[in-house]
Amino acid sequence: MTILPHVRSFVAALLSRRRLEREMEAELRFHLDARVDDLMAGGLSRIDADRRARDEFGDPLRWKEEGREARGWRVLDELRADVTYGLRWLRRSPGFAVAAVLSLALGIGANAAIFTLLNAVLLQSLPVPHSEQLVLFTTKEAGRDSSYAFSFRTFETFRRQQPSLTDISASAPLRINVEIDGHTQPTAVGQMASGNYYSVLGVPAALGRTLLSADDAPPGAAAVAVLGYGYWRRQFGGDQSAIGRVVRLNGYPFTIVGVSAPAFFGTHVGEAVDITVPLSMQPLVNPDFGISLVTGVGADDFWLELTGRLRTGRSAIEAQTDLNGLFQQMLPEMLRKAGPKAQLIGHPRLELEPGSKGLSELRRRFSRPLLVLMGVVGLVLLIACANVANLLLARAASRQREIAVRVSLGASRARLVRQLLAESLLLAIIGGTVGGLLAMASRHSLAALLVGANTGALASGLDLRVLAFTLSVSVVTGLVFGMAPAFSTSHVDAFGSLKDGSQHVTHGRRRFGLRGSLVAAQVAISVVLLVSAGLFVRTLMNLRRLDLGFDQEHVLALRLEPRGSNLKHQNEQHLMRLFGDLIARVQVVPGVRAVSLSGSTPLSNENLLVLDVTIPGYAPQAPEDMHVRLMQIYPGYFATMGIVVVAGRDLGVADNDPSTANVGGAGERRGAHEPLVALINETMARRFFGTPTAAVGRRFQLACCGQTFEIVGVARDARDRTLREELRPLAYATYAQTPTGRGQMTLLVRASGDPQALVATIGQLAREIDPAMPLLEVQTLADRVGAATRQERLVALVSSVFGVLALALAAVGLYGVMAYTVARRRTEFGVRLALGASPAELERLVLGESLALVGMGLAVGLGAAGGIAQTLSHLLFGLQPLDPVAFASAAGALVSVATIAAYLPARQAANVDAIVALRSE
Amino acid sequence: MDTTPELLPGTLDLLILKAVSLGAMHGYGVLLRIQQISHDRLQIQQGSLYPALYRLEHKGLVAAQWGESENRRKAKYYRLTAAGRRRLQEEVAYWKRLTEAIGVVLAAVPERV
Repeated sequence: MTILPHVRSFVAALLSRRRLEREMEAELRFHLDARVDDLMAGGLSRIDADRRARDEFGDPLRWKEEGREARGWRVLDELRADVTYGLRWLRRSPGFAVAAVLSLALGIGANAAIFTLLNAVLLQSLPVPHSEQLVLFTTKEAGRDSSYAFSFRTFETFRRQQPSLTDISASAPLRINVEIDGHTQPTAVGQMASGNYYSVLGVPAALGRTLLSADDAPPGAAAVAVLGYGYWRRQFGGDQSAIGRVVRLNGYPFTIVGVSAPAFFGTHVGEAVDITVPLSMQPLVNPDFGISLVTGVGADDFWLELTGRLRTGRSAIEAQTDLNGLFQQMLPEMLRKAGPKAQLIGHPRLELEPGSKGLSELRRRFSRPLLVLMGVVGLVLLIACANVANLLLARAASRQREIAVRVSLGASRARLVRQLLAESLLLAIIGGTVGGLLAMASRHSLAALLVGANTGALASGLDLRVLAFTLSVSVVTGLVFGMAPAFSTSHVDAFGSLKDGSQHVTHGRRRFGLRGSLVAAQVAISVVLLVSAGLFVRTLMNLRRLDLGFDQEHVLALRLEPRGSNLKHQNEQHLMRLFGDLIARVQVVPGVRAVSLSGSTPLSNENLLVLDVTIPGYAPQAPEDMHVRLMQIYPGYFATMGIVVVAGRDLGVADNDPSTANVGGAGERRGAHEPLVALINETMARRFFGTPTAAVGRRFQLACCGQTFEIVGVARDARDRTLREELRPLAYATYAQTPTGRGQMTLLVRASGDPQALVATIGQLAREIDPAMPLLEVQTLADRVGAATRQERLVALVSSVFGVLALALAAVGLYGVMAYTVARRRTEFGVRLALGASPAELERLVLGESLALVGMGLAVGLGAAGGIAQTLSHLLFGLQPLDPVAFASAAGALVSVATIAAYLPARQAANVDAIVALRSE
Repeated sequence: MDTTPELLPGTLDLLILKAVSLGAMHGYGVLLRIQQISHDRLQIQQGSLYPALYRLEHKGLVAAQWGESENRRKAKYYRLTAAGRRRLQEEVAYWKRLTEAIGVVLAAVPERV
C-alpha cells in the first residue's frame, strides 16, 4: 500500500478544507436532485419523490461525518481542536505557561547551542560539491604521529602514475605580509596551492578566475593571487576593481586575478584562507624556506598537504591500495636521499582519509570537550523535562473534573492521552522555538570561546541540520515529559470526581509518588552536573596556578622568520648580524628591561629539536630512551623569561660567538677548542646525574652528529610546549653552537611596565630588519597562556553555568512538590494538631520528609557522579576523578539550597489552622 | 422476509470498483449501475456510497474529477486508477475463492464418520 495518495489527501485536507467541504455538499445535493428527477420522471409527485429520495439516501449528516472520517479528516479536526484548546488553556494560566516555556527554552536552547558548535566543528562538510569524494593523503606508522606532509616530487609522481583519482591537488600554508600601494596591511593567512586546487575541490570563482594549471609552470613565472571572499570584502570593500591590482606579498609583486566563491574558506575548518598563490611561486614568496621546494634538492622536502578526488566507481580502499603500492616503491629512494634524517621518515604506509570534512586542528582539540558538553546539556534538558512534567502533574489535579466530563461524554483513554500529549507537544514546540532563537543569538559568543576573536572562520551559521536537531529534540522532549502526566491524568474515577466537593485524604504509603520520584531524579542529575562542574573548575584553577617555571607577566613574544632563516648554516653570518642588530635596537627602547631570542615560542607547540644523546657514565636501562630536546637561545634568555638558574652559570655573549662554535655540517667534530656549552633543565639533571649541582661540569654527546656539550648550568623546569605535558629533559645551547638548519627565532621582550605599550614599537623595529619577512602579531605571554587553556575554560564555564541552572531548577521542583503535598494534606495536619501535635513538630515532619527525598536523590547522584567522573579523567588535570573537594562542595551546595527550598512549605505546614482545615472537609 | 439481502460489510467497495471499471461515472450513476447490473437484487443505502467512494479515493484506487452531467449540471466523476484496477482483480479472485470454499462447506452432506 503506497503512502503517496494518503499524503496527497492529507495535504489537500490541510490546504483547501473549506472547498472540499463545499464540494462534498454539492455532490450529495446532486445525488438527491438526480434521484428526485428520476422518481418524478417515474410518475411520483414532487413531494412524494422528495420523501422517497431522502428515505433511500439515509441521513446526510451521517454520510458526511463518515465521509470525513474515510478521508482521515477526523484526526486532523481533533488535532486542531486539541491545539486550539491547549493554547487557550495556556493563555489562561500565564504563570504556568511562562515557567514551563522558560524551563524548556533553556533546556532545548542549550542543546541547540552546543550542537551548533558541534556541527560546525565535527559534522559539517566542506562547502564543495560531492565532498564525499575527497580524500586526504596521510602517512601512518605504529608508534609515530600520522603525518600529512609530502614532498613535491612525491606529489608529481602520484599525479602522473595513479589511476584511481581524477586528480590530486597540493597546498601548504603561508603567512603573507601584505603591502598595498606602499602601505603595510595586517598579515594575511595564506596558502600556496597547485594550479588544479580549485578544480579538484570544485570551487568556482565569484569574480575573475581561480588558479589554472597554467599557473603551475614554470616556477616563478605566474605571479597571480586569488582572494578569499571574506578577505576581499574586508580588505578591498568588495570592490570589483580589486581584480587586476598589483599588491606586494612578502615583498614580491602579485596580480590579483580573482575571488573565490563566497562559502569557501579553505580546507581547514576554523581557519579561513585569505590569499592563495600558486605553488610555483614558492621560491620567491616564502622566505621561510630560502630554497626552492619545487625543484632540485628541495623537491624532496616534506611540506605539502595533498587532497584528491576519487573517480566515480572507485572506492577509497582501491585508491589507497594503488597509491600505497606506489608510495612503497618510492620510499627506498626517499630514505636514501634523506641521509641522516631518514629516521624521521621511518617506514610508514600511505593511507587515504575521508576529506569531506577537511583537516582541522580545531576538531582535534575540541571534539572531546564538545561531546562532554553535549552530555551536560542533555542532562540539563532532562531536568527541565522533569520540571515541566511536575508542573503538568500539579495542574492535573485541577483538571480532574474536565477529564471526567469528557470521559462521560464518550472519550476513550487513547483519545484523552492524545489530547494531553498534543498539549505537551505544543508546549515543547513553543519552548523549542524560543530556545532555538536564544541559541542563535548566543552562537557568536560561544564560537568565540572556541576560536577566540576570529569567529568568521567557524561557519556556525543557520544550518538545516541544526534546525532538524532542534525540532526533533523539541518533539522528543514533549513526548518525554508529556507521557507520564498524560497517562496519569487520563486515569480517572469519573464518578468520584464528578461528585461535589470530594476531598481525597492522602493515600497511605504513596505519599510522593510520581512527582516525588521526579524531584529525586532532578536532585540526582543536579548532583552529577555540580560534581562535573566542580571537577572542571578545579582543573582550570590547577592549570592557571600551575607553576610554569617562567614569569608570564610583562613579556612580549614575536616570531621572526627572516629570509634565509631556514638554512641557518649558509646564512649564519647574516642571520646573527640581523638578530644582534635587532636586540641592540630593542634594548634601548624605554620600558624594556630585558630582551632575548629563543628557538620556539613558549606554549606554542612548535616542534623542537629532539635528539638522541649519549652520556659518558650513564647507561640507559632497556626501555628508556635517550631523547633530549635541544633549544637554541640567545644570551639573556633566562633573565627575560624569568627562569631561575639553580646551579652553575647562565650562557653569556662569549658563548654565542660564531668563531668559538665551529659547527659545520653533520659529523664535524670540534677540534682543540673547548667543548660547546649548554644548560640543562632540572628534569634532565635529576634523571641523568642525580642532583642539579652534580650535573654541572658533566658532558653529553649528540648521537647523530658527534658534538659534545659541557653542562655549565642547570635551569628550573619550565613548561615549554603545552601546559599539560610531562616535563622532559631539555638542553639549551646558544644560537651559534646549536647544530640545526632552523634559524627562525622568537623575540622575547620583558617590559618594566605594561607590555602592550611596547607592541607597536617592537613590531616596527622587527619590520625594519627584514621588510619582506612575514610578521605575526606581537603577543604577550599571558595571552598565550590564556589561549592554551581555551578548552578548559569553555568546559568549566559552560558546566558551571549549567550546574547552577540545574540546581535552581531542582530547588524549584522540590519546592513545588512539597508545597503541593502540604496543601493536600491540610486535613491530615488539622487532625494531627487537634490530637496534640505542636506546629514545630509538623514543621519538622515536613522538613524531614523533604530531606529524605533529597537524600535519596543525593545518594543516587553521588553514585552516578562517581561513575561519570571516571570517564572524564582524561580531561582533568592535577586531581583524581573522585576528588573529595568537588564531591563535598557539590553535596554541600545541594543540601543547603534544598533545605531553603523545603523550608517554606514546612512553615506552611506549621501555620495550618486546625479548625479551618477540619471544617473545610 | 425481505428478498433483497443487505450487503456484507466490505463488499460495497468491491461493487463500486467494479461499477467504476465499466467507465467513469458520478456517484449517482455508480448507484444506478450497480442496481442495474444486479437487477435490483441488492439493498444499498444510497448515501453510504459516498463514504465508500471517499475511502477508495483516499487510498488512491479511484481518482475524481469535476465534470458536466447529462443534464448540464456539475458533478464529480470517478474513474478507476491503475492501482484500482489491480485491486479489483485481486478482490474478485479472492471473492471467487471464498465463495467456492463456503459453497463446498455448505454443500456437504452428513457422512458416516
